[in-house]
Order: sequence, then C-alpha cells, then structure tokens
Amino acid sequence: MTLESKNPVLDFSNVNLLRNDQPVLHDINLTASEHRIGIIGANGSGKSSFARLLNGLLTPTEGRAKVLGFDLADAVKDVRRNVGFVFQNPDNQIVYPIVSEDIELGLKGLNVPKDQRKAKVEEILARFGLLHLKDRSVHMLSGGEKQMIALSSVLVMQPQMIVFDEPTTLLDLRNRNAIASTIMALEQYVVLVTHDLELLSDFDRVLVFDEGRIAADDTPKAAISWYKKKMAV
Amino acid sequence: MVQKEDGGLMDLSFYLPGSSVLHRMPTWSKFFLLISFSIIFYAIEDLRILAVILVAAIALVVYVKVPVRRLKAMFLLPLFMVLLFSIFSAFVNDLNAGLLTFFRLTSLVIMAACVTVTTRIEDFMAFVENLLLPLSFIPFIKPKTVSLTLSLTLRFIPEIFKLGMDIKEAQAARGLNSNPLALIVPLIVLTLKRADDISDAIDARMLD
Repeated sequence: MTLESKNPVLDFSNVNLLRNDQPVLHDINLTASEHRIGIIGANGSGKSSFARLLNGLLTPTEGRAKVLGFDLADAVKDVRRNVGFVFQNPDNQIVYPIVSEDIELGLKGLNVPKDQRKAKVEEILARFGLLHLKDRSVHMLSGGEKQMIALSSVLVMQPQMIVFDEPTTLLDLRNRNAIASTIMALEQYVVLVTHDLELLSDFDRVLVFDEGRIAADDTPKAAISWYKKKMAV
Repeated sequence: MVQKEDGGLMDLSFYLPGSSVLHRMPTWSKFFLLISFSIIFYAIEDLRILAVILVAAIALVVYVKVPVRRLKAMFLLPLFMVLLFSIFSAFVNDLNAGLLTFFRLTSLVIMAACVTVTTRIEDFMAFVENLLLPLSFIPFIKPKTVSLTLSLTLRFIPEIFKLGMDIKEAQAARGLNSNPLALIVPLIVLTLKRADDISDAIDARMLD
C-alpha cells in the first residue's frame, strides 16, 4: 500500500537546532508528503536530532517546523498525539513490567475506557501474533519481542506517523527481518533513521544527513549510492 | 531481585495470571482485608486460633496456585526476618510470645504474598493513585507521578542490576575486577544516561 498526502506531512523552513549550545542542525528546508521516508548519515550527522524534532522531543532553536500540519512552536501535544516514536533500545521505552500493562498505559493517558483498553491491547498483540506474551514479564522477552512490544505500544495509540530511530541495530537477522516487514506493512507515514541501508530499498524517498545538513535528497537508489561514495572518501 | 542460575534476571513483578476469587477482588478490598487482618491478628492471644489461621493462610497459597520456585523467591527473605523477630521476642519475653510473633507474622507474610501474586501492577498503581488523590492539593504530591515512579522502580531495578553485571564482566576482562571505582563510576554514568533516554521515551509516549 502507498500513501501520499496532498498536504506536506513534513514542512520545515530554515530550521536550526542547538543542543548544549552546540549547533546540530543547520538551515533545514524540507517539504515531504511521501508514505515512507528514510534517513541515513554518519554518526553525529544530526539524523537522530532531526527524528526527535518530528515527535516534539526537541523544538527548533530557529525557523518553522510543521509535522502533519501541526506547528512545533505551539502544538507539541498535537504532534506527540499523532506521531509515535520507536527508540533504538526498547528497554528504554517499555515502562511497565508486564507486557499488557505497558501497552495499555498509553491508552490510559488518552482516557480510553478500561474495557476498550483491554480489547485494543489484545487486538494489537494478536495482529503481530504476540498474544501469548500478554501476561509475560518484559524482562523475560527476547530483544526482538521487546522491539515488537515497543512498536505495539506505539501503534495501539493509532498515530498518523511513526518515527523509528535505528530500530534494528540491536537485533539478530531474524528479528531484523521481522521488524523490516512489519514496517513495510504499516499504513501510517513512516520516517526511519537507520544505518541498515537495505531496509530502505523500497522506501519512497531517502534523505542523507551530513554535518547537520541535508546533503542529499533522492530516491533510495540514488541517495544510498551518494552516501556510499561519501563514506568511501 | 535475584539473579537466576542461567544468568537471566528474575523480575520484581510477582503477578500470576489467574481467575481465583482473589484475582477478581478489587485491589482496595484486598488491601483493606490485609490491614484488617493485621490488626485482628494482634488482638488474638490464643496460639491454637493463630495456628488455624496459619493453616488457612497456607491453604490460600495452594488455592492461588503459586509455583514452588516463586514461593522460594518470595518467602525466603521475609520468613528469615520473621524467624529473627520471633527468636528476639522469645528471648526478650518468653517462648509463648515468640510463638505468637511467629504465627502472626508468618500468616501476614503469606497473605500479603497472595495479594501480591493476584494483583496486577497496573491495578496496584491505580490503587496508589486513588489513595493519594485526597492529598493532591499538596503541591509536591502528584498521584500520577508517584504511581509512574513506583512502576519505573519495579521495571528498572533488574535492568540496572543487569547493567552492573555487564560492567563488572567488562572490567574483569580488563583485569579491574578488584577496583570498586571501575564498577561504580560507569554504572552511575550509564544509569544517568539511561534515565535521560527513559525520560525522552516517557515524553514521546505522552506519559508525562
């Protein structure tokens, strides 16, 4: 399935970002409406900071940034309500010790009634064939299972967009493939930050970050080729 | 928190899924009964009645179907403490007082364990939240924050323990196994970094 919005889902103009008084993003100008956008770049190139802007975890120091039409300057709550974030390490993301309780937690924050919460948790776990983990302790899960639970806890809140920050880095090949096919099957807008270039082959657009700037913005094939040449120097 | 023989970590959540009467009882009623029993037991001076209560408490464990392995993890330390208190009481007072202490405390420990294994963390947190609600007019008491902090504690103590084991192993590989600073400094730094990441995740999930 492909999804493309008439209105830009990402609309950044002249965005600059400082972290600890150090510039990490410079003059980002971007308009995007594609279903799946990949982000690559060397360590410290600013791609993770950019991803954090998309969920309102960071806000621009200068410039204007709109995500799904919500301006980060005055609608951070709306941005967070509509943009889910999956972190590299699911252990940082899962806050309750029991699987079902953790997935239910976000729904509780949205004031979903208890009986509906239980049904939604079972529905999302069943969707990924994880219903047997419902009452399992998080500590007893494998890395792949934890990442799927972290994704389920985001998806259950029905966001319009999901940002993934290197979701396969800590996984073995089987779990990496499972997460990859899950991402490709998502109906939501997807922004994926990764070093795993193969993951992006079927994406609609890939941005390459270099020293806090968008250095290349193209189809996956062209952008990855540019990045590989850059890294070879 | 205990490290298992296979190197995995035993979690601090003792909840056991089930459909017993205790599982279905509202959390507040279980805690109300537990507190009531603790008052009533101290009013009973007859050893025979307390012995019957202890047998009933053990029957409750069987009814709730707590696995033997879980029993060991849950009871070993508390029962050791009960034994110490009882011996102390017997020395300070007399044998009868020691036995009364042993029967009362053992029954209570067993009943409290039954409440723990039949109460989901989420329900317990909701109970804590409701309990603190009347105090929420005090500026620094935020019931939701308190319950989230408690759940984070239960969730992350085993993780920090695992982090400590990993650091210990890495330092031992470098020949630094007898240097406590080699464990403590990276553990503090990594735990603070972890806290930062968890704080981001809490913000991203709109739990703040």
